[in-house]
Amino acid sequence: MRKTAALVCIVIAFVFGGGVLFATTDALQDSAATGSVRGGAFDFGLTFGHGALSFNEYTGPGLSATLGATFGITSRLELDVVSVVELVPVPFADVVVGPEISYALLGERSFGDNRAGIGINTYVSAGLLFADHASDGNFAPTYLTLSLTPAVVGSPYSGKRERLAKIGAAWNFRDNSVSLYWSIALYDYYLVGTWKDFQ
Amino acid sequence: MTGPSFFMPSVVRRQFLVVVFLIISFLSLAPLGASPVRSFGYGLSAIGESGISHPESTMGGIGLSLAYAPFSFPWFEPSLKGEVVAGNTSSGFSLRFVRAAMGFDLFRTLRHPFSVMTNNPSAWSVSLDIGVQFDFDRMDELPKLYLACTPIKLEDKDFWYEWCAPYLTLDCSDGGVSIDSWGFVLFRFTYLVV
Repeated sequence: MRKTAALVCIVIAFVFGGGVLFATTDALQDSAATGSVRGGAFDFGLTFGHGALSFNEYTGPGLSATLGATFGITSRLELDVVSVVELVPVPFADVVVGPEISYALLGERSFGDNRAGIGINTYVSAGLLFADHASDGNFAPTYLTLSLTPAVVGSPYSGKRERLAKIGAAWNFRDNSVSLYWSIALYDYYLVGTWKDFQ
Repeated sequence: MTGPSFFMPSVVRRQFLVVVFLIISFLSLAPLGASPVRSFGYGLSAIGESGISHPESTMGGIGLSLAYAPFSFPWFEPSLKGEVVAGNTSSGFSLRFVRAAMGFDLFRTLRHPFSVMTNNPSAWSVSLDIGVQFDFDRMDELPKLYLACTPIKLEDKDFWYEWCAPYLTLDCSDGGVSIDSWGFVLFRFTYLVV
């Protein structure tokens, strides 16, 4: 039951993401033509990589992956829809999903026109994650996260981005406990808002 | 025992020496290959392993690896790989295992559906590995046979990007064959330096 709820939540997240994508693609194309999209959602990418909530009584030792999507909101802000999915020892046995807001500390992540954003950046992120990591077992908002990604190489304009050594804390406000929230590497593949869209 | 033991039983020591002999033999063949590209590198990977015969060894961790591919064959290109993995089990974080393997890239092609994953043009290959794995917690046992398949290996002159590689370790100690563990390499990122 909990697994089903988690999977439904992931589907909703991706449907939501797709809806935002389709809603913003026209705006993006219009703004790309005019050369200015500041303040609008102007890039979209898919995310894949490692991710984990460690030192947590609800997640045992193993390997989990991050699947998600990333949406540009402004030149420095982005919205990420992330899911942390267990792969080992039991694939999809545990799923955590939710939105994160990230802010680029070192400069513009994207200008939304025919100029590349900062190629090496640092992000600070805050998020709200849904999980069943509580004594009642309900799949509901569970974690507030705060994390820092010190090395972000690439940009939406270049079409690829690597987010390295993300580290932070996840506060389980239902159980009042704190976990380590971290990732070795996350890879973003941009479908909208790359240099190809500004030619 | 949480760390490596160097006091191996004689049968394990013999197998270890066989592996070392194979490595040296492989290295001695390198000049025959005359590879025009960089051939030696080091890598970082995200790995999870589920213990079948020893569930307490289930872990998630990080692997540090060395790779050597002195040849540049379009088919069945061999390479030599070594990897040490540290990870978190139910009993804490420690060195988990070390493995040595021979890899074979079945083919290499520039026309593939994964070009979107890299900025520079890259070649796609599928790699099969066979080798041995020594578990630091069970050094008194025979090493396990290690079999892996990497369905997505993207290569350019400086990097190998490997994605979503499942593997098995088999226990062949009692005359039969049984699955000791299975695992998954989410990614392995190898930087070629020489």
